[in-house]
Amino acid sequence: MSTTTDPKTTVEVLLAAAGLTVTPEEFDAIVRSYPDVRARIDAMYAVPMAKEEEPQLVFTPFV
Amino acid sequence: MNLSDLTATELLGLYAAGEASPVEAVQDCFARISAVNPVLNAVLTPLEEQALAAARASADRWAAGTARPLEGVPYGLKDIVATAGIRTTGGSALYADHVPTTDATLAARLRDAGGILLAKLHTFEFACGGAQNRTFGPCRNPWDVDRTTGGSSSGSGSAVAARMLPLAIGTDTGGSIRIPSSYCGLTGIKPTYGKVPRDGVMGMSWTMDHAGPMTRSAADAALVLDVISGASAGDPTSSARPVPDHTAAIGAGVAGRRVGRLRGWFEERMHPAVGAAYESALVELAGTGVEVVDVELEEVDVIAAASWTVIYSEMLSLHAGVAHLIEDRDAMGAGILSATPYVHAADYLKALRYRAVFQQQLDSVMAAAGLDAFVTPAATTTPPKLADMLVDTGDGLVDWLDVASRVTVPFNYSGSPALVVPGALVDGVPTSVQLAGRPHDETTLFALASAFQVATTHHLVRPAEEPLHTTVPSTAGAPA
Repeated sequence: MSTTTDPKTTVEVLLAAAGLTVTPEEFDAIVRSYPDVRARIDAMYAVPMAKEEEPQLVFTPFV
Repeated sequence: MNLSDLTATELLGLYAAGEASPVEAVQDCFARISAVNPVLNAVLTPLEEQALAAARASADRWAAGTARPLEGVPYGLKDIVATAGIRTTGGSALYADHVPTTDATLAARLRDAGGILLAKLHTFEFACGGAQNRTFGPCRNPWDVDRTTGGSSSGSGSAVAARMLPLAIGTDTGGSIRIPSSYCGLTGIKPTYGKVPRDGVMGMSWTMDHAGPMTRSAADAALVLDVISGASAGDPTSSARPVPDHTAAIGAGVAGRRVGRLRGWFEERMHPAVGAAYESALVELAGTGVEVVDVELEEVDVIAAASWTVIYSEMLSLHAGVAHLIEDRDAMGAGILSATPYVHAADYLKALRYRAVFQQQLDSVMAAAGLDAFVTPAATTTPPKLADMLVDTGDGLVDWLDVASRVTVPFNYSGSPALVVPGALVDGVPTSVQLAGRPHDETTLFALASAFQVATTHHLVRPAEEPLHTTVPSTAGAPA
């Protein structure tokens, strides 16, 4: 799910879509941190897992 | 003897012997609240009149021989737990005057078991807002009033540690029972996902949220968990399993049990002095007859990212209705909310799928090593000062959010039960050890914790008195 879009554009669009407003300082901080946030999320995609594992839980919490 | 100093188990013993009454206990607790809450700010809504009325009814029950499991035991509730007719603020200006019409199931269960609600307690705003609550001021740590209790169950940690009341309920989405329990020297348990129903508890992330007790002993935590566990028609995610007798596990033998010490990630970014205290605690744990063996998890660095991916997605969904009010919220919660839109639907689903992989990995490691539980530090640093919220990892000062939940959030993600017990003091503040177990196996954790507390006295040490009575400058955040 990695994106090549400019972080500033991405942050601007996603904040607007979520209906969130932030100060200019917060916006700049989010833009700076966004590539790292995205990289950490993308690390999940490097882990091999079979599609059949979803949504089976090893333990069923409700019983 | 001041009854506010006693645990719930000790109070019940005195009541049964006719050597104290619930009325005296409630009076002592309110005297204590009056004495130290002006500094600590743990209590948002005191309920003295109704508590004394309930205490008188409890005394009658003891006299009539109809006492219930928590008859006459005072307790507090984190102020995200709904209470009928009593304001439930969520620690937020947005809910400052909110008065629910029904009790949360766990609150009703505590009341029906004879517990006496003394107060609604301070919380980080919506359980994620940060230590500097701009509506109610910061809650202070009794061990060092310049430091945070951690959160988000801030008032629960402070009030129980300061002997305002013997026990309180906290909630835990990424560590919010275990972090303040650790910072305040308490025993706290995040039970298995689904064990304690959450209907009536303000949600943050529905597959990560848990509720549980914060106490001054493993015995008290087991006593409370016995009362609040079990299926609820109001919470479709609550477990239908029969509730085991957790209290029966207190004092059970642990010789020959095997505990896996999670190395690597779980012991990184740890201050050397906290690490030394942890090593000492492991020696003490081994002294109970437990065998401690080293284990490691694969790809553990992915767990935190996956956990926060779930929290961000579910938090944005739950808070969408108030997202436009973000400027009225506290900084930390607003900051977390601002981070939520960057998780795509595919990321969320990937994180849910990875949850199954992680659960399977925990199970496999336990089976391969013949483990009964895992052990980790409950916090890798001492609590930060309220003034800057920075923690010292030994490699320098970092924002506390960078490290505070790294050892706790994996067990929210897996749904596993995790219990923390106090270790030795470092710089005058508590350290803590975390025990995590198989799903639905809280009894093993209680057996291990109670053995540890028989062998040690860390849980009996109390904060110094003098700072709790010193006037705090109003600029440092008195309640608004």
